[in-house]
Amino acid sequence: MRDFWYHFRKNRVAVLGAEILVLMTLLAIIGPFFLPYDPFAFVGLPMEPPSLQHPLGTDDLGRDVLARFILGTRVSMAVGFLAAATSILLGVSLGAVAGYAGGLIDQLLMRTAEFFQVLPQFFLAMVLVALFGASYAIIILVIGLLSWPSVARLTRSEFLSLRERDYVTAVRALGLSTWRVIFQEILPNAAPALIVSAAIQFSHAILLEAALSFIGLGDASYPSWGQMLNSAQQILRQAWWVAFFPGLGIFLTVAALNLLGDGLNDMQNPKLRAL
Amino acid sequence: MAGAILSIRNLKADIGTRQGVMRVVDDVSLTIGPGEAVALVGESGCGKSMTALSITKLAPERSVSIVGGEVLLDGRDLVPLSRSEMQALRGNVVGMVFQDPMTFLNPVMAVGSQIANPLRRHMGLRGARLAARVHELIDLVRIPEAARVAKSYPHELSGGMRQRVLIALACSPKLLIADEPTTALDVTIQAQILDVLKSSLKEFGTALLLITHNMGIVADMCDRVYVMYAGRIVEEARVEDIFARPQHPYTRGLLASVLRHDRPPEALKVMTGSVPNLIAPPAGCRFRPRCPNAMAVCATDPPWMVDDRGQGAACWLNSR
Amino acid sequence: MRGIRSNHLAVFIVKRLLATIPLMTLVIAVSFVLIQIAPGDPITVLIGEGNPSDAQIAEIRARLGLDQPIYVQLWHYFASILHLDLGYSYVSSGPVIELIAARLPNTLILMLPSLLIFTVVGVAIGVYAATRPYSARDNAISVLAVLGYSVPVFVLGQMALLFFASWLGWFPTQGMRNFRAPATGLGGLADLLMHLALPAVVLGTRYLAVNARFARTAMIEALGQDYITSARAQGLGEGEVQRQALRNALLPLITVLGMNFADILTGTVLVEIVFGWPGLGRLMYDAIFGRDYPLLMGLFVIVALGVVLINAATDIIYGLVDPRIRNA
Repeated sequence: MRDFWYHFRKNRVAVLGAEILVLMTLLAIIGPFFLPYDPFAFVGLPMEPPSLQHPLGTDDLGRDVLARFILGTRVSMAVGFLAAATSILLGVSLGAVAGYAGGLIDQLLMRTAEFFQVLPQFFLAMVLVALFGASYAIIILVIGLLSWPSVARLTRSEFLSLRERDYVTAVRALGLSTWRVIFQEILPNAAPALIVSAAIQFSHAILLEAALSFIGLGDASYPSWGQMLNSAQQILRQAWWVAFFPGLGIFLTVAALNLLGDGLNDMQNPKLRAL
Repeated sequence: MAGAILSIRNLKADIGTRQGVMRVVDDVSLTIGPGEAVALVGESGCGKSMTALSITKLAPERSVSIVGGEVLLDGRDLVPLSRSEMQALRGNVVGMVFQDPMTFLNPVMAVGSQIANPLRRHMGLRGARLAARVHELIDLVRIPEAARVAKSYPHELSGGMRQRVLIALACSPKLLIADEPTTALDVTIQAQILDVLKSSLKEFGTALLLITHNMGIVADMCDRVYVMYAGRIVEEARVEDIFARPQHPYTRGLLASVLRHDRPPEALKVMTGSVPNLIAPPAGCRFRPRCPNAMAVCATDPPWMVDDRGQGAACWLNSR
Repeated sequence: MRGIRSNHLAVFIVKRLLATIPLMTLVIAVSFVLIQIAPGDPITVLIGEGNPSDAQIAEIRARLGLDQPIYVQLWHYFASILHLDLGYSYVSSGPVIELIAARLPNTLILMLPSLLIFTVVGVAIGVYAATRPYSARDNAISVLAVLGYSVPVFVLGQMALLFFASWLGWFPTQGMRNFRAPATGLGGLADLLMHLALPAVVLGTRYLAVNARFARTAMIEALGQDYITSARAQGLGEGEVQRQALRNALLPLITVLGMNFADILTGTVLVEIVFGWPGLGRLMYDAIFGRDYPLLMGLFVIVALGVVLINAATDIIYGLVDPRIRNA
């Protein structure tokens, strides 16, 4: 673990990513308790530029952009997190089953995963959300259901390479149950690769939610960054601030996750670091 | 040796790793005369391939550095040469044949174009003359149907054929460095390839530096042998002498581990222990931890002793 | 010998094309299932919320045989898609396939030049970065590439529109042509290019970043291969050595472009919405706004089938270019 921190700290870009991510997470968790205005109330004139009263200006209906941005941070990150959690849970379970069971079950699951990867994800998500209704539950479920294959394939390959190794064979020879072998021996070893995958899934989910909301398939009950961009599109030339800050929020969060994922990935590849 | 094609003097090369600096080539001296075939033998990791790469300076610059000594090729020191000066010599004055003929050929280039590349560069051949020369070289390494083979891709050829292509590719230099050229091939093909190699060397009067751990091939191909252990030369001898009266205990171990047809297989001995860690090598003779004859004096560097037949070894046993 | 080889090639192509049939079948089946399990009457999904008359609804029920058993309906659905009948949009009043066909060229005008130019530039940057791996220059390019594909195209698009079109006034903000002063011939082309420039560059940023990254990794790997050592041992110049590595590094790019096709199209569609470009993206946006389900389903089916076909096409191209597959 100390070795991990030692190498991690040397990767300045990954550290920067982690710092931004922590800040955004804190903003998402704590921020909404300290909102300057009610994010749903019309508290000013429409499209007021940034001022002391409204540091990020007001939107087309006179709502405070800062308040909506902070709430949007919580909504976007929560949706991204829950969707990524869904896909990881699904992917790890299915990948573990495929890798552990092998044979026909493995074949079936992997063909399914491949088929899912051929389907155009964004367009399928669009159809599903349009048909089943744009609620956060549906959006989270749809993103999770469409994103599991890469996690499943990763988990499966980790299982395949790990389960034949000596210590797993030894542990099984000791008579431990399959579940204990999976949870105590295999998963902890697969963890580094899965953590990188989780960072990518998280950033991917945030992007997908933002894109869906941007094309008008957002849940209007709470504002997300994508929804703010959707309403900003109509008034872009009159009120840049309505688009700028949520756009910045998406960019910073996604970039932070990608940089972090990249850094962690490099660390697992000692070959790349040796020279 | 006057008029030597290759003369390496006190060469030292380091590899920087995360654990520390390894001296993989430690004070190595070696000489090859015109047309002479010399072997450099030792276990894998002993530094013999690194020595070869230091001659051609093909080792990755950032990881391997030559820290001392000189490499005289045809009288000219290669160590200070620039990249473009080296390019003019490689494939022209010094050629290389590598271990694995599959990975050392470009998989997406026709074999003929690969053979043509160095000819175009070093001999300035173009057009029909280039094509004719490519066919000649393919014929020379005894591949039938040169015209068809020239259009083939590496994956379409057998391992033996690919190795012949690599030999043809090495052009007609003054010195050919062959790094385990037959290890990846099966035994029957090995003999054919060695034959091809021998006749190509003869054709152009090329000297050979053969890097191998296979003493059988050494006996077949070479005039003289250098034995390398843990970055150092431990023995030098003519081929007949090394088999008849090896001086260094490591050489004896190496020979004992070779299956000989005049002895039953039970006589095959395997040396115990393994090559030492080169970041913190043992003091004195590096073979000491594995040596059956180790003595207290071996903890200091052994002297290089040459006998009246010109056979040299770095061992305290010989100093008595 | 030649004859045998071209036979192999034909077999390879036919095999790959046949392999698309089960995938396409699955795609159509998925869209059928979606219509069936969507909340409410499938008729809503099939006609949208475009206020068709009762007579029209009755006509559709009869035509689609919605009272018949489900497998018959599935069969009908298959048959109609094979006849390129994707239904009728009551919102836009026209056959879905015609609406899509009318917009597709505009989408391609936006997508293809941008894809081509920025893929090439991206690869060049990646190759440049790979010449000195892990140097400050390479690290900077790598980080920029990550930033480049972390910014969603619609965010970048909105910012570019604000800055270059709205504030600086260098480019038109919306659309594909200036309808107030229609120009023809060369003037028309110039007008189109002015409208195209900004969305194409925004879209291209993503290809630039993705391909720079891919080319860098592939090139570093190729440069570490044994045949590169071999080429150097032959005394070949650094230029020729790089060319040999590049040839090997670029082969997988074909596959990657094929696999990313859906992603590429997604980006295009989103950029279209930002810039009011009259392509499939605008069509989709309007369809979502008007709850035009037949049009949305049609877009999904066409895009999904397109992805399957493009994947097959890139596999075939790869096979033609890579001798290891071509002559296998």
